[in-house]
Amino acid sequence: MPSALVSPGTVFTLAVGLAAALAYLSFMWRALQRAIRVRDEADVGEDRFQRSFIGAVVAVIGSASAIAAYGLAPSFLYLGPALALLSTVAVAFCLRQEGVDG
Amino acid sequence: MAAQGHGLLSVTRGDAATGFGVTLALGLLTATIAGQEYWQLAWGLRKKDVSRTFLWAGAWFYPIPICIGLLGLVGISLNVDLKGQLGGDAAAVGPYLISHLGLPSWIVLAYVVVVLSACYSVIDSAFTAISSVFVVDVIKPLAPRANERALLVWAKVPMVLAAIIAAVVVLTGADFVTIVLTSYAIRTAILVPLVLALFWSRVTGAGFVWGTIAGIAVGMPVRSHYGELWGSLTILATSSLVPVALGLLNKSRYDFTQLRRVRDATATEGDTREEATPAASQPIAG
Repeated sequence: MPSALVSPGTVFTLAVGLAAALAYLSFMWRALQRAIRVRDEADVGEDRFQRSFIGAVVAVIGSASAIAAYGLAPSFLYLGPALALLSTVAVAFCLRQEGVDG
Repeated sequence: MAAQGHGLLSVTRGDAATGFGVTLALGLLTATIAGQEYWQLAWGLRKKDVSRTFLWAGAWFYPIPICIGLLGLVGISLNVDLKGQLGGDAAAVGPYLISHLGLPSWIVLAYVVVVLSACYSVIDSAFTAISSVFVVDVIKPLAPRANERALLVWAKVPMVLAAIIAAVVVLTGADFVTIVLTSYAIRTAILVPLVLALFWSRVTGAGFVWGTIAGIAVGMPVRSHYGELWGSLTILATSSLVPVALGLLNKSRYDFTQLRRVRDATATEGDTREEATPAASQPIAG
């Protein structure tokens, strides 16, 4: 019989996920508002991606390491959900930058 | 998971790669490079944001399938019967587990919302892409004087047709994994011809088209006889050899800079936009 209760670990994961999701939505909303504000402005500026490239390398290495770690011990399976939460935070951070960039 | 043996999740095991991993990886790579929806995003972004956006969004997508894929591992550890309990469709393991593990109803509902959101996200991207291609590459050349209102109506036609075709495919009863692997194997045929068209000035239109057709015509029978790995590799090799061979025979070079002088294909009569926005055409010589 299903219960409405879940384990403390699940509650913690859900709480972190909910906080990350709220931050994501908040920053996305700000980025959207800014995109609407500046959509008629001239398309100028250099393609900047150095910091993003470092972030992408971290993401790829983290994901590859997580998959490799699965084979070491079953407890490493929790790396997957942890990385998924981190990815939400990372994209929220990118949206935050988008909302305040000049 | 530990009870299933130490070798089950080892990255040194090759059966996952040969069974579906190579086909899936090539298909996903092709989907990103050739997908009209991604090109529309690239053209819609400001120049200074293109690399940054794709690096962040692309790289940080990796953990999502890694996380969702855990449900498959949970299914293995619980000895879920693929044929008996999932009807032979391995992709059903997620919904099956979520609804049979005794989880609270609100978690099951949250899972349904997540899955539907992911589905709608992909569907609306596909609809936008297909309607854009149809209007720009079919309707505009046939009816260059069509006004915005008429184009809007025409844009809805391919969406309805695509939805009907998708519904028919689903109603055939083919399992999801088979549909995905087959479509990914077919789309792999366009990977190398498209990359060559973007970066090699000697590629011809004939090389692109025949490379894609030959890749499918030769590779799909190989796939049906020898499995995913050899099928995908044959598609990749054949679709590479044909455009390269025809390109080497081609003496002329395509001038990529002329794309900057192409008139916006979406511009209507009286529109003064002259700056290039190559909304559909790819740089293929010949």
